[in-house]
Amino acid sequence: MELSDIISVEAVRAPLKATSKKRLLQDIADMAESVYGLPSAATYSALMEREALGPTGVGRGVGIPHARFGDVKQVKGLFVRLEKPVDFEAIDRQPVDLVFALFAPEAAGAEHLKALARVSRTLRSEAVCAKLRSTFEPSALYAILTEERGSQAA
Amino acid sequence: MTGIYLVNTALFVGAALVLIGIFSSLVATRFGVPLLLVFLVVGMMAGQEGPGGIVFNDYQATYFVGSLALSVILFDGGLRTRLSTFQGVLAPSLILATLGVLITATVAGLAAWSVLDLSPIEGLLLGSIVASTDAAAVFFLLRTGGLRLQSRVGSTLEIESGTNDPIAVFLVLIVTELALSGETMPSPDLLLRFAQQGLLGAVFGLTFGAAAVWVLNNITMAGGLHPLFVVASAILISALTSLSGGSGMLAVYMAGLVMGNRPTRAFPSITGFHEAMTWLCQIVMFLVLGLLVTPTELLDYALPGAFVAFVLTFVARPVAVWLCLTPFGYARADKLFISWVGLRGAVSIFLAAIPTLAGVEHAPLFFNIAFFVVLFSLLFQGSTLKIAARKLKLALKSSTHKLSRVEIDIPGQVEQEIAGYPIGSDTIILGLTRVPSWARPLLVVREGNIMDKAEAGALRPGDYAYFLVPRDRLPRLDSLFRESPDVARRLGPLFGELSILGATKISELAGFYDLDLGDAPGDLAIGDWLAQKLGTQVALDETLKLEGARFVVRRLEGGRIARIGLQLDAIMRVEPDERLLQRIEEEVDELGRLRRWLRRLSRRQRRRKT
Repeated sequence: MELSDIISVEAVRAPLKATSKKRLLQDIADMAESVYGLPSAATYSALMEREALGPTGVGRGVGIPHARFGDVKQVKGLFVRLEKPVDFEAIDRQPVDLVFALFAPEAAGAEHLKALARVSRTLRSEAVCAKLRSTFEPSALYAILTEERGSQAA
Repeated sequence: MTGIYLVNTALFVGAALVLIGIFSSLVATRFGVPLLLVFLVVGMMAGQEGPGGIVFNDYQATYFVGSLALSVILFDGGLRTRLSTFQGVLAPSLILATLGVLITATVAGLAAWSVLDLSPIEGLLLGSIVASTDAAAVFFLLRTGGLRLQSRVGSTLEIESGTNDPIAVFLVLIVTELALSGETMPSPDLLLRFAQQGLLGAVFGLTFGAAAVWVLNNITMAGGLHPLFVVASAILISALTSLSGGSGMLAVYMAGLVMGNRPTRAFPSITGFHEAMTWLCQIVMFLVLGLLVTPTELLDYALPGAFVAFVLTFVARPVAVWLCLTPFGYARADKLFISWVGLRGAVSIFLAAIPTLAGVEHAPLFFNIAFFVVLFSLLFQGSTLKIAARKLKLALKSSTHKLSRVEIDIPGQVEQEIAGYPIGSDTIILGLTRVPSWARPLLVVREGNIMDKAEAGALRPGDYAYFLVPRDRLPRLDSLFRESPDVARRLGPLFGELSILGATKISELAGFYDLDLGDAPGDLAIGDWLAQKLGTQVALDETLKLEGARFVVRRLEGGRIARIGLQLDAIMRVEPDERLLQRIEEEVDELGRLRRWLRRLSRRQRRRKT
């Protein structure tokens, strides 16, 4: 699975102004409605439900909030670069400014995990994150995310 | 009784000199003085004009010590040269080592002939003596200087300095003979002899090297004898080839090359022993050469010495480097640096003893000028290497990272060996998420307990980790176990891990991820489930592998797992695999011995700690 399968340039937004994690997730839910037609309220509560199990801040300023609910038809993603990092209760306590949100249908099965792994593998690269932090241009951000990379192994 | 007294005195003085050298080196390296220079100076101090007052003018003994030492050093140089890692630079390096030496010798010789009162052939002799770069000096200054070069430049220098000594040695021997026979001009005969010596040397070296490997691999000898067998074989090969009219020095280098690049039994103990032997040989060689020289006499030759050193450094060597390397597309900075690292060393002084031994005219001139050139080279070039590398932008980020490795030979098996590394708080591997797949983790010794890798989980500072690794990959594995100050910085929590509260109900979690948790009851907390699965040994970093993901214990509170890391992709530090140990036990019937040895080792460590 490639990131270009789950994200399009329309699904990238930057710079996004958000003052808190809740605000951010609300904005993402609104984006999900405008880009993928997902009901904003359902998306927001699904995301919050997942955060309640444990925050999805994976470290180094990256957050991967994700949700799985009935309205989603196929695995889709959104990418946001925040103007100012917000606290995300991440494992390394670093505020988050790069956010890749994922939505998966109830029946996605292994697809969901694969997509999550793909996102985390891409954003694990410090070089990729540095590039992402160098621009607010959505098309450039999209290009960096979907750029062909050789081995992604650490 | 005086005989015994003399022997004891000689032993006392010799050992004392080596010890003085070792202790002075502790001080000297702080000031960046090349270590070999220290031994040379200690030898001079002990000599007839220093406080030591030892009168030593025995060129015969010097030649004997020198030949012996040089055989060992050159053999070691071959042993350490991994042809596979040098494929791209082999051709240019070899041309620089052969043709380059000839060019250097000729240019330096011409200069000496035109200025000093020498015949052309005597000029060539002087040129040949100082033509070769010294492997010991180059390796030593490059490696212990903590200087890491771009691989092409570094490899070229290493191979060149390792291979050009034998060339220079037989060049000097041949030209000495010519000078003795009263010829004054180089003749075509010279080239013929050159070819014969080289050919015989190469053939003898390759053949006997392969034979020695065969004997090592097929004949069982008592364990401690392997390295001794190798040293004796090396000296035998050198002497036999010289007696048969070939170049013994080339032969012994080739033999080392064969042995170092073939799977060989007991290789770790051989290289370990050879490392010490090479050190000893270099120390003894420099001490003896320091003793041999008479400093006041040296001063008489200061002017011609400085002239030759100057021509060699600024004309002869650059000309040779440019002519040999330009066709291979080396950049200007590369060539400048390679020119500057034309370090001369003990080999040149040793070679200078040959004309004296043979009774060539002007012999003191050769010896003293060579000595002067070596001093100049070690002092000026040696101490400016780092600056030169930095100026020419060839130095990579300095890596003086410490490495300590235990190697364990696997009996009856030559392709693989077991390597053990202590894990410090700054060991690079800690900052990485996995071990390369070709390195098979075997055991971890933690706090005196021997664990297989499944029990141990991720490596921690204070551990000893043992891997089964193909011999040719060993240097690559080494690089992961060096100490680096960056590691601590990178040692934050693993990236890419989703965190899950231990209290989360399995039903909630399974809804999100489709994890196959067997028939676990839905209302059980995931932390308690994980604790059950892991059994009694719940500890931080304990890992449970699932289909497509894994759980890692991240926080314990009141004996319960409070937080779990969910890792999604195949990033792992040491991948647990219980079958591995079993397989190795089948493959290696002597693993039991290894285990007992490890247990002893860890017991010893525990004792050291307490």
